[in-house]
Amino acid sequence: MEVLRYLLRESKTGMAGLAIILAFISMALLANLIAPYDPMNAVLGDARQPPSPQHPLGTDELGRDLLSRIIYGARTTFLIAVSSTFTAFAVGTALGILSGYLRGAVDAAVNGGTQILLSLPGIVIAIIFVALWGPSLVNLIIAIAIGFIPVYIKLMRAATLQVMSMEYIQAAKMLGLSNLKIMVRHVLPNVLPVGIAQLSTDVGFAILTASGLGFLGLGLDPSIPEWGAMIGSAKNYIFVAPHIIIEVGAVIALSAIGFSLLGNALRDYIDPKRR
Amino acid sequence: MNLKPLFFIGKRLASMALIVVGVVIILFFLLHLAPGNPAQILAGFQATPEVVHQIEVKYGLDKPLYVQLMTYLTNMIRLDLGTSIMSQRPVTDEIMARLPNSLMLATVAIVEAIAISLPLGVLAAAKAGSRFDAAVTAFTSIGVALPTFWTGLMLMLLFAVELHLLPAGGIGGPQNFILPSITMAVPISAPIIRVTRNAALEVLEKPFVKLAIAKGLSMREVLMKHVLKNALIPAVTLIGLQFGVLIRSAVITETVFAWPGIGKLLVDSIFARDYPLVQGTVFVIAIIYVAINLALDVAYVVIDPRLRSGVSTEWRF
Repeated sequence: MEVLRYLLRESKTGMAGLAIILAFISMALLANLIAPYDPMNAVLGDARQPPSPQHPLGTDELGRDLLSRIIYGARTTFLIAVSSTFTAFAVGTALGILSGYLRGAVDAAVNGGTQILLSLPGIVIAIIFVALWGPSLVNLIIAIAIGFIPVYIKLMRAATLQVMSMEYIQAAKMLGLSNLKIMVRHVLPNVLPVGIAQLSTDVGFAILTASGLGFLGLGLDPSIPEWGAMIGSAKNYIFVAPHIIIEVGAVIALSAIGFSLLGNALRDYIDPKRR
Repeated sequence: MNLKPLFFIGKRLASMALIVVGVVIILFFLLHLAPGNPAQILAGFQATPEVVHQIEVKYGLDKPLYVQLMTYLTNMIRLDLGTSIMSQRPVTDEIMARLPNSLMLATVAIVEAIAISLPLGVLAAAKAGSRFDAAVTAFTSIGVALPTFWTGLMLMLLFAVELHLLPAGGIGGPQNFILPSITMAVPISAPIIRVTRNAALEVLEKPFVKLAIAKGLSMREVLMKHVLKNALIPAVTLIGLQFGVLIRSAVITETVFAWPGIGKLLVDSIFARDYPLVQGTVFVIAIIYVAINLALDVAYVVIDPRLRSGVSTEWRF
C-alpha cells in the first residue's frame, strides 16, 4: 500500500507502467468477453487484410482476426513470462541467500555456477534448449528462466550480506535458532523487496525473449495465439503484409515498456538515493 | 617490485579458464542429452541404419559420452574445434570468417550508444527535474523494452523499403552499418544513460564541483571537465555487464539484417544441428565474455589501487 502511495505521489512514470500492466492483465482475463472474433477461426478468403472496420487490426496470414489473437495471446505470453521470471526468482533467491548466509564452500560453488551461467548468455541457452528439446510451453519457460537465474543469485547474495551485518541476525544466532529458520524468517523478508523490483523489469524482458525466440522460429505452435509465435509466422509476410508484425511488435513493446516503467519506479522506491 | 597485481591477474586468468571449461561441459551435455539422434538427423530420416551408423562412427558419436567429452576438451586445449558438418570446413575457419563482422558491428553500436548516452545522461542530471530530464528518463525505460527484431524491422521498412535510402541488409560499405548498429545501440544506450545520469547527479553534489562553480567556471566547463570524466567509469563498467543484452541483440539484429556474423552463425548452426559449429561458436562467445571481464578487472586495479590488496571484485554490480 505504501508503495502505491509512493507511486501515486512521486512517480508518474511508475503509475503509467502500472496502468499499462493492469490494462493488459484485464485484457488477458476478459479475453473471451472482449475479443470480437474466435482467435482460431481461419477465413482463408480474408487472409492478410489490412485494418478495416470489420477487423480493426486486420487479419493474419490465415485470415484470423488479429485483434482477437492479440487479446487471447496475452494469456499465453504472460503465462510464459510470469512463470519463467518467478521460477528464476525462486531458484536465484534460494541460492543467493544460501550462498550469502553460509559463505565458504557453498558460496564458492554458487559463485562458480553463476560465472558460468553469466558467460553463457541467456538467449544462447534459450535458443539451444528450445531448438533441441522442442518448443513446448514448459521448455520455453525453463529456457527463458535459466538466463535470469544468475541476476537473482547476485542480487540476493549482495542483499543477504547486508542483512547479515545487522544486529538482529546476530541476536537470532545467539538465541540458537537454526540456520534454516534464520534464513526463512529473518533474511528472506528483508531481501525480498530488492528482488521484487527486479522481477517487474524481468517479466518485460521475458516477454522480449519469448518474442525474440518466436522471431527466430522457436515459438509455440503457430496455431496457438501467442505473441512470439505470431511474430514467427508474421515475419514471412513482412513485405506482403507488414501490418501484422508492426502491430504485434508494438503490442509486445508496449507491454514490456509497462513492466520496465514500473520496475524502474520500484527500484527508485527501494533505493531512495536514486530518486 | 610489487608482484600483487601480477598475482591478481594470474588468479583471474585461472578462474577464467575454469569458467570456460565449465561452459564447454554444460553445453556439451545440453547438446548431447537432447532428444533425437543427431546422426539420424544428419543422414535424413529415410537413411538406412548402416548409413546412420557410418555417420556416428565418423563423428565419434558411437563412443560413450564421457569419452566424447574428454576428446572434445583435449582438442579444445589445442584450439582444434573440429570440422563443421554443414560446410566440411574447420570450425575455427568458419568462426574466424564471421567474428570480425560481429566485432565491427558491436563496436560501432557501442560507440554510438556511448556517444549518445553520455551527453544525454549528463545534461539530464544538470537539468534534473526539467521536462528534458523527464523525457530522457522515460526513454531509458522505453529503450530497453523495444523488441530488437521490431526496432530493426521498423528501421528497415522505413529507410530501406519505403525511402530507399539505405540497404536492407547484408555487408558492404559503411552505409550497411547504419541500420543494424542503431538497432543494437538502442537497448544498450538506455541503461548507460540511466547510470550516467545517476553518477552525474552524485558528482554534481560533490564539494569539488560546487567549488568549481563557485570559482566562476561556466556550467559547460564544469560538466565537461569534472562531471563527464567521473561519470565515465560507471558507464564503462555497465558495458561489461551488458554483455548478455549485447549478444541477444547481436543474434537478432544479425538475423534481421542478414549480417554474416557469429550471432547468425550460431542460429544457423543450431537449426542445422551442426554440433561442432554450435560448440565452437558458444565457446568463442564465452571466451569473449570472460576476456571483457578480465580486461575490466585489470582496468579497475589500474584506476583504483585499493583493489590491489586482492579484494575480489567478482561480485560487484
